[in-house]
Amino acid sequence: MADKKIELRVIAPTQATTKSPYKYRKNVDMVILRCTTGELGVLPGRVPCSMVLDLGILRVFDEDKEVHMAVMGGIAHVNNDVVTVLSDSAQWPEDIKVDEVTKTLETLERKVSETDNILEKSSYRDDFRRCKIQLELAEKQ
Amino acid sequence: MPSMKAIKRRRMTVKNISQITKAMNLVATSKLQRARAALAAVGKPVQATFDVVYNTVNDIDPYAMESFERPFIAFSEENKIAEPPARNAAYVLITSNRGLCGGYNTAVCKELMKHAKANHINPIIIPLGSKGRDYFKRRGANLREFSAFEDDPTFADAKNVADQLVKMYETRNDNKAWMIDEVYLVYTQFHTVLNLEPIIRKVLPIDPAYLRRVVGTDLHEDETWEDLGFFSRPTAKPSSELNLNIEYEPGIDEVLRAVVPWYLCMFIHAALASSALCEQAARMTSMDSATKNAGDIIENLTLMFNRQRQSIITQEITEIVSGANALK
Repeated sequence: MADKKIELRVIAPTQATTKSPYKYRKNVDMVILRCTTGELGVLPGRVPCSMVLDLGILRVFDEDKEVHMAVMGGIAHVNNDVVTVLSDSAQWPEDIKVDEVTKTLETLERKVSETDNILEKSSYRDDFRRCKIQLELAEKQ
Repeated sequence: MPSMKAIKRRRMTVKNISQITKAMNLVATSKLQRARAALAAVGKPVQATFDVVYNTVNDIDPYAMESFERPFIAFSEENKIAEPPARNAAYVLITSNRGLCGGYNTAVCKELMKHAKANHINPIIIPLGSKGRDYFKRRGANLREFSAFEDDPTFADAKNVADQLVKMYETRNDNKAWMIDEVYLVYTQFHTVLNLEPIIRKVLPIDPAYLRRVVGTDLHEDETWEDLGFFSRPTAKPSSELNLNIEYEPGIDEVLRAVVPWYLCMFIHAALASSALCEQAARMTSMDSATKNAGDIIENLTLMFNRQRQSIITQEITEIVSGANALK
């Protein structure tokens, strides 16, 4: 693709180690971020932008290859061809333990079916989505 | 003059104590290394967050903020918008959970007292660490406790505090006034093992002028970015011009709502790490001097003990000699 690239930096402070604070840092062709209002693609030369991320899958395109990463909310900023993603949690497909996630999902489903309280039901929404996204990512691999 | 037995017992006690202080010194030394690594690990994420916050906040049009009910940003100095007169403040105070670390805890508490006395009436104090909590409880301060805080601060701890602070910032009290107008962070900055500095930093509302100073433009005379209490140098490029091209997705309000907790969280996380490092450094030096002092006391007691033993021997000899003379 184009000669110009953008630098993607993904930082998940809870997963930062002393060796490397970055979960991912690479020059890539294109990044597609999952924002609260929909997906947003970032190409080199984009005007500066601050955005709020939703739970979802971050797609990275580099030299005809596409890699995916589950990013659970946070913020992102584009400036001078650098995309910084700050999130509570960022996972590669291999980080996801399908058995555990399926189990959590089952527990959540049981909890939802047991209660009639709407507020309580909706409080499980994010956990639900988190599990679904993790499974979706694991399937894609 | 105490008896020989008493001196012996005292010497034994001091010796035992010196063994404890020596062990504590060694433990603090090894913990210091770990805390140093932890602070270094915090550096990069803080830097990245700062860059994002700086770039997001720097170009905000001051007049766009006017429409917000509760702005997270206050423009000081150059772009001043009328400031509300009454100011309720909250101080987040970071101290340790354990004592025996010299003046470390009192230094931060006193700094807070001084600042609060000069600027605010009955501020809310949010202690992180039991020493600070006890200090202000004794003085009957307006305390608000968030949660128990562990010795090894994690990102989750900081996030918890940041979320609650934001919630407090957006709450009105009974008089329909805002519960808090300003949030200060009180922590200890590490320079060297012997140079620990208690610092008070305003973290809410965010002041773009302060951010600009950290990045390196508009720095006051004789000021370096280290004086501003930042932990690692931000990489954001300073620009003096307002960049009105910046976009906010979905909107400026939502973006600030997401960015501000991150800023607070990172700042608190770094301050916790810095304070934890200072605690170990303070403990190391104070335990080192305690061990030295114990050595001095042991020396004195030994001298006293020997002198007394000698005086008893001398006395016995005198008695024998005078007894022998009497028999002549």
